Amino acid sequence: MNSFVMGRYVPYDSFIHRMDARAKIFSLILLMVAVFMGYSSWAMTFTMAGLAFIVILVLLMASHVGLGRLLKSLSSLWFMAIFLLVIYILVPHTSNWVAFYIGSYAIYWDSILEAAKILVRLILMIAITMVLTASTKPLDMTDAFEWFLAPLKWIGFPAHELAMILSIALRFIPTILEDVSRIMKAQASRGVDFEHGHILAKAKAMVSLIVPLFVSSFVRSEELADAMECRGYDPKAKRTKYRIEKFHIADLFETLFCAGFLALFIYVSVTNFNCYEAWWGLSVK
Amino acid sequence: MSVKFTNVSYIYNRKSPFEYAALKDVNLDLPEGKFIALVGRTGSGKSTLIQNINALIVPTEGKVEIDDFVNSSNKKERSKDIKGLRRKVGLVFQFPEYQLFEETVEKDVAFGCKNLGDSKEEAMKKAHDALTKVGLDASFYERSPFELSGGEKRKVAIAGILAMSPKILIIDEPTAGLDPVASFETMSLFESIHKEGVTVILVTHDMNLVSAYAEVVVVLDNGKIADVTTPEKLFEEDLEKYSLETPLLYRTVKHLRAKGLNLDEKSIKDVATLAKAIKGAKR
Repeated sequence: MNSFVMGRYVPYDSFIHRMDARAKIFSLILLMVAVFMGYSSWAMTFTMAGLAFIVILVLLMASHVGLGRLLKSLSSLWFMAIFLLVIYILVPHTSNWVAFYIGSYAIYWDSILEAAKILVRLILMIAITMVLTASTKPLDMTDAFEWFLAPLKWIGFPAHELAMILSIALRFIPTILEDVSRIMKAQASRGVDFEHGHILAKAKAMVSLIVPLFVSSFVRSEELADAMECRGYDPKAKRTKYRIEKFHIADLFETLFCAGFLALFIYVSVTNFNCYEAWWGLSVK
Repeated sequence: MSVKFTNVSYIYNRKSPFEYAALKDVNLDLPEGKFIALVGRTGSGKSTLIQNINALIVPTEGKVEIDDFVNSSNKKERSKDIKGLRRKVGLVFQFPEYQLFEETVEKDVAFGCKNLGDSKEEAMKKAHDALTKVGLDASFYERSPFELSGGEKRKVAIAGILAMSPKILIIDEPTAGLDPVASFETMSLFESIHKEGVTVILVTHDMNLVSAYAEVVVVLDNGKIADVTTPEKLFEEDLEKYSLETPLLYRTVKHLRAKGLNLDEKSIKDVATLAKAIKGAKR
């Protein structure tokens, strides 16, 4: 069950935890854009990815996520890696930089590197998202989400309702996970084996989990709707907040740092800058 | 079927800020064939303890021996035959009605037996027997469990465990949310199963049930065994420290004695024997 907990909020007191959720989301979006820049050569692509990785690693450490948890959540990525590699090998290339031959079929370096590039980007993306989810309370996240969508309210977009749905969904993830483990245990004591057995037995085992889960979730949602109505919940009403998010100077600096980071990446990308050529006069692919 | 805990500790969410020790170095021998009550305040580790008996969780430290099955923190020592254990130890969770999922009542009750390797006919026969035991007749067999009332659903869920004919039956708060008649019926059912020689372990907050049914009481406090005793001895003590409540019967006797009625406590088991004792008491 621990794999579900990958993106869970963990209460530490780091500067990333204390950061304003809006600033944090915005900064992390900046970082994500930076990760997705394209560069003049392979060497530059991976150098910049390495640079981004160092920065993200520092953020991971600072938010107490740790490399271990990142690696754990990446454990299923090998399937993706093989899939990407196969796709890129089958796609034709313009370059003739051959890595090796399988029979008479040429495997190009470009396919391998392209697959590696996508994989590295994915890993960086996951790491960035983990920093966000591990250091931000779900409620703060939905508040920030609503704040970002606020301009859309002018054209009648139900920003508050959407934020409410999101916060309820987030709020109930741990509850439903608790349900899952409770039902799994109850069925396990009736002899269900969720881990072993052939595919048909596993499917049957899943049915014995999913049906009760649906039933209890429906019951719960109905109860929640009733409880909200009893307290006079009105999505259109103007409401006050218990906690008011304050945007501090530190948040501004942190956002500016990320913006500067993105600017550097954009500069390198747009000018086709190649540090190997410019600084050491090397010619690399 | 004896159950023996040796230095068992259990820690939830190890190595995270949520780390929490539910059991701390528990040593416990549960006698065979007894009606055992497991009591203690919320969060004292009762649920964790019973899940260790059924090998639903593995101890962080120490081992639990259930007959020849060993549930140990040491992987090499741990027994493999989990299905055999599940057949011997039946666990009825709190609000068991939430585990129903089949289209018909009889299929749901037979589900456990089929998982443990019984043939379809055998499982169905056991299911019908179990349904008769809990007081549901043949008209229920083909009905959907989801259209039953709450009390009937719980009976079906309990039948699902009884059908596996366990040697140890663990029940967690079986009367929670039931009306008085239904809770009396449920408890009578467990008592009759106990009379057939099954070890019953009852987890409860209701001291009236403990005084009425239990032979042995295990008191858990903050993850440790605070006491293993009989209901009579337990209720003489000050129960406030465990956040337990003295049952109505014992409170009545105490007040009567305080008013000067000389009652023979040993003979008092229920309301009828109390009335008898009052009649025969000397002022």
